[in-house]
Order: sequence, then C-alpha cells, then structure tokens
Amino acid sequence: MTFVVNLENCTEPVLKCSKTGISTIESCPGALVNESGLVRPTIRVEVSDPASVESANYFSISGDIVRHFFITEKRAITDKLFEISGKADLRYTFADAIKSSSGIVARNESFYNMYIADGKIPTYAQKTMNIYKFSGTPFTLGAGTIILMTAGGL
Amino acid sequence: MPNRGVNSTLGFSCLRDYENEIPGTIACIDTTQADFRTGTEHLLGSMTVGNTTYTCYSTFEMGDNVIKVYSGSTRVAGVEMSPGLFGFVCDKNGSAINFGIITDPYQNTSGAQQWYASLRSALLQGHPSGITYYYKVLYTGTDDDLVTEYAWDESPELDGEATEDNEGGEFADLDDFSYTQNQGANDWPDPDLDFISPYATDAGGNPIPGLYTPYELTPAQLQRVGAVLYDSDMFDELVQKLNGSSNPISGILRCIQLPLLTNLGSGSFNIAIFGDPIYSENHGYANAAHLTGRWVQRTAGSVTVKEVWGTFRDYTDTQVSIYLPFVGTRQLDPQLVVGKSLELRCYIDAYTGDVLWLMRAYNTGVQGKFFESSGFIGRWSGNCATEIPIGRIDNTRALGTLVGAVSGAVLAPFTGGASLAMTGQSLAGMLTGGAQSMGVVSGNVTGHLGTADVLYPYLIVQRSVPAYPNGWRGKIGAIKNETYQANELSGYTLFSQIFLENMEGASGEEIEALRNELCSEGIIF
Repeated sequence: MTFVVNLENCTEPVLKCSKTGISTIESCPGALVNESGLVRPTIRVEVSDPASVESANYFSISGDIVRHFFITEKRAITDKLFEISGKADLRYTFADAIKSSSGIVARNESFYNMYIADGKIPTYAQKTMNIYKFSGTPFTLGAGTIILMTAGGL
Repeated sequence: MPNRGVNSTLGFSCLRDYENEIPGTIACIDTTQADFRTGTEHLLGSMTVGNTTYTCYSTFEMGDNVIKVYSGSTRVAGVEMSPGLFGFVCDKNGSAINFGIITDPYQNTSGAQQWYASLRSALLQGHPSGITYYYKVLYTGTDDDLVTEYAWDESPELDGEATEDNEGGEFADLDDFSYTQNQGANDWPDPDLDFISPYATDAGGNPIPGLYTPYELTPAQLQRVGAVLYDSDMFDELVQKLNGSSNPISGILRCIQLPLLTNLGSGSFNIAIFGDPIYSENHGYANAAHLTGRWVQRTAGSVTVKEVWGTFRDYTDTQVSIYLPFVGTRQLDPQLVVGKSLELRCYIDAYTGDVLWLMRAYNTGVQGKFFESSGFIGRWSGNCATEIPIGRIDNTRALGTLVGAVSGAVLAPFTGGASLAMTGQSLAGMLTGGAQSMGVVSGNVTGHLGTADVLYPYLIVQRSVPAYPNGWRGKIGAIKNETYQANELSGYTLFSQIFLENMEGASGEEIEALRNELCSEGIIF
C-alpha cells in the first residue's frame, strides 16, 4: 500500500490534542511494510535528502488515509531508502472525534473538586501541630474542696 | 415522617448546592421566625456570621397548599407555586443577601422578579459577593407523602420535576439523607434533677436524721475533725455509745479532696456521726457546711476548628486528639471536628469525684456531615478525687458508680481509699497505662494523679502539609470525577471513561488504543 509520507518536525507536547507546531521537512512516496498496522506502523520511504530523515521526529501519511505518527525508530537500508517505525498520534489524528465525545473526567487542570481524596500529591513527613485551648475549666490549683461523708445524718 | 428541617410548618427542604459543588450541603428555611400569613414584607430577623450581619425579610403568604408571593405589600398576580421543585436564588451584594424563589429552577434570574426570604444555611455558606448561587428547593406543602415522590437529579439540564427511581447509590434516600433528630438547646443533661437530698425536716422545720450526711470542709475544718475525733474523751464516749463496736471511725464513710470549688456548700453545722455531733472537751465541736447538691456542672467554653486547606486533607490527613483533665488524651474523628465549633461541658459528682466530659459540635456552615445545627459527639469519664485516708472499712459502694475505667483499672481503691493507701499499694500504678499509639499525645491520667497534670482541656490538631509541585494542575490535573463533553474541557485532562463518537474510518485497534491512552495518560486540550 503506497501513499504520500510527510516527514515532519513536531515541537508540541505528545499529549496535546490540537497541534500547530508541525513543520514539514520533506514529502515523499512511502509504503507500509508488510503486516504493519496503523497503530504501530513501519513504513519504507525513499527520500531525496537523508538529512530529512535525520531531523524528523514526526510523520504523517495522506491520501486515502490520513494519519499522524511519532517516529520511534529509523533504519537505513540504503543512503536514501529508509524504514521508519512510528507510534500513532491518535489524539491529533482523531481530535475532532474526541472533542465531540463525552466521558467521565478523572482529573482536569481547570475543573476539580478538592474534597475528593487525591493520592497523587505527596505530603511532607513533618506535620503541623496546633493546640486549641478551651477557655474554661472547673478545676483549680489549691486546696479545692474537701468532702466528708458520715453515717447517719443530722 | 420525612424531615423538612427545623420546625418547618411549610415543608421547605432545600437539598444540594449542585452549582457550587459542595456535596452534602443542606439548607433549611427557618420558618419558626416568620408569620408567613401576613402577606406584607416584614423583618424575619438578623443574623451575624463572622463580622457581617445579614438581614432577612419574608414576603410569602400561605394559602391552602400554595405559596403566594408578594413584592413588598403588593401581591404579585399570577404567581403561585404548587408543591414541587423550584429554584432558589441566593445573591449576595456586599453585606446584604437577597433571596428569591423562581418558578423555573434553571432560569436565569436577570429580569425575573425576586422576593425576599430567609435561608439560614445559605448565610452560613459565606458566599462571596457578586456571585449568584442556585439551589433547588423541594416544597412539600402540607402533604407528608409528597416529599417521597421526588428524587434529585444531578444534572441541571434534566427535568427537575421528573420522578425517577433511585438507580442504586446515586440519590440519597430523601427520608434518611436529610433526616436527623435535632439535639436542641435543652438536651444538655441536668443531673441535678436526679439529686435526692439526704436531709429532711419535720413539720416544725427541725432536721430529721438521715442515712448519711455529706459535709463540705475547708482544710482547717478537716484538721479540726482529726483533733476532735482522736481526743480521748470523744473516743471513750463513742465506744460506749456504740456498745462495743470495734471502731467508731467506721461511721466515717469517706473523705475525699476535689480540685475544684463546688459552690454547693451551705451553712455551718456540727459534724455528726451516727446522728450525734462529735465533740471533745478540749476541742469542742467540729463544724462544716452541708453539701446541698451532688453535681457540679461547668462549661469549658468552645473551640472552633477550621478547615485549613479547604480540601480533603482537612478531613483525611488530620489527626485530632483531645486532652481532658482527669481523663487523659483521646482521639477524635476529624470528620466530627473539622469545620465545627466544639463546646465542652464537665459534670462532676461531688460524692465520688467522678468526672464526665460531654462534647457538642455545632455546624459552622463549612461542609460537614451534620444536617442539623449540632450534635453530641463525645463523652469521656474519669475521676478527680484524691482520697484522704481516714477509715479502714469500705462503706462507700452504695454512693455511686465510679466510672474511671478508661484503662480497665480496678477502682475499688476509691471506695475504700484509705485502706489502699495504708497497705502501700500504688494508686498511680493502677490508674495509668494503656497508652495509645499517638506518640507524645497519648496516655490516660485520672484519679488524684490528674492533679499533677494540666487542669484545662485542649485539642491537639496535627495536619499534613501537601507538597504541591509548581504548575501541578497543568501536569497531572486535579481530581474531578464528573461527566463532561470533551469540547467543554481545557488543559490537561485524564478520563476514567470516554465514549468515543464519530470515529469514522478508525479501526477497532485504533479506537481501543485511543481510549486506553486517554484513560491512562490523558490529553491536553
């Protein structure tokens, strides 16, 4: 299966959904290596400049199928023929679908409930210690009161 | 009988501030202060929370099973609310709080007519100015059964008047979730009501001999008792009187010293044994006041333990201990203490020195478990008596229950007092022990040993300090646990479950891989 492979450089964080910091280095024809899927594919490309492969950390395929990938491995077959392994950037590839979906948010940067216990934040070993004194007490220093109980009353 | 709040005759119950996401918040309209039938605006009352005083008015009139509303003294035509759900708006402006009831729970209040009402819990929430809060109010009318027909929706988008079955754990049982019996101001015990005076008088006002006599003495008076008793004349007379009883001192049931002033002593009387005043030629009579009551009731005041972090840590990472004189140190559940005002009272049995501490927690409006205003959350017992050795014979078992069994120590020594001291056993050794695993804040201290310890109660609160890395929310997010459309979200997000839609062209492998990544690594929108 052949398609256009765009060797790119991506400066965005891996987890980012909408990536804008992607620059194309070289576009060239490519083909999937046999039995290679679309989540962890290996493609074979022939480039005009080997430096394109060297400087790329990202690639996309376009044509009938559009997908985006992080480059995980590069292998040179000849000086201009390379095999490149990648891992699908599913967040960018399916960004629109993700945004139209709903789900239960476990953690979020802006929406949160700080009264739900969070085990990801550690605490210091030292604890603070506060004393709260009650304002009164029935007990006094000094002789106090002596109670004598005798049998028989009068 | 479903609970509708504090003495509510109108059946108002206000449940869940879902907009502000404070779980467990329950607010009740205080209807005891209002005459809702006047139809004119009038002052319900003022309430001071912190440094701010809120003034509340009511303009409602009840007619049959319907609420009729007024603006000032003018009846607003066409607005009647039947029993059911409606929205309640709380809008704070500076130091004033305006409340309104709107017929549509989810309607924006701009342009809507507003009326004044009172809502005590809303006041205690301490709402910041400039923010409008929405509450859902269930008006049950006068029909007791109505409140059970409704279940609360979690989402404001759903029809608030729909009746839904409890789907298992989502909705609290309305009867029990908000129901609690109020422990009112009159619930503080008054053991004086149980006191039976040993004294009686005949028709002429003359004292009738009783079974026993409690006296209250000063140290000087106690010294005089010894002098009189052991005067040889006194002994000879007593021996003769008792017709050979082995020891006249057996008439002395007990002598203890209490580290407090009872304010129960009254008058001046000759101390009597077996009905006869003790007397010696050399020292005369021994005098003392009568103890006119048995229970000493004192308040130790109140302490407020605030939320420090405003997070779960105030409740899960906080340890609270309380030190009580003549009891020792005990642990408290922070859930019962944090965000509460704690009032402590002490009840001392003057006959035995038994001590009972009773703690009551008042809700301050910070979120907590209480749905009413207060509750008795703790009681601890000990003993504050110091035995003064006089007699050998234990005659005091009938005088009362000695409850200082905090460590399981045997308390018979207290009833016989002197016998223990004279045989050389260590009271201290029998009283202390059973230290708890709280480091320096552990321990039982009761009995006379308590006089060597701190004489006022205090709380010890230990709190953990979180180590937040800089910018942590953007890197790992904070816990939410709520359903959202993904396009509502921004920043770092981790899903616990996501239902991917519109994944045209995606293979099953890609869909599963994406779901796993979103639920394990997250995404940045």
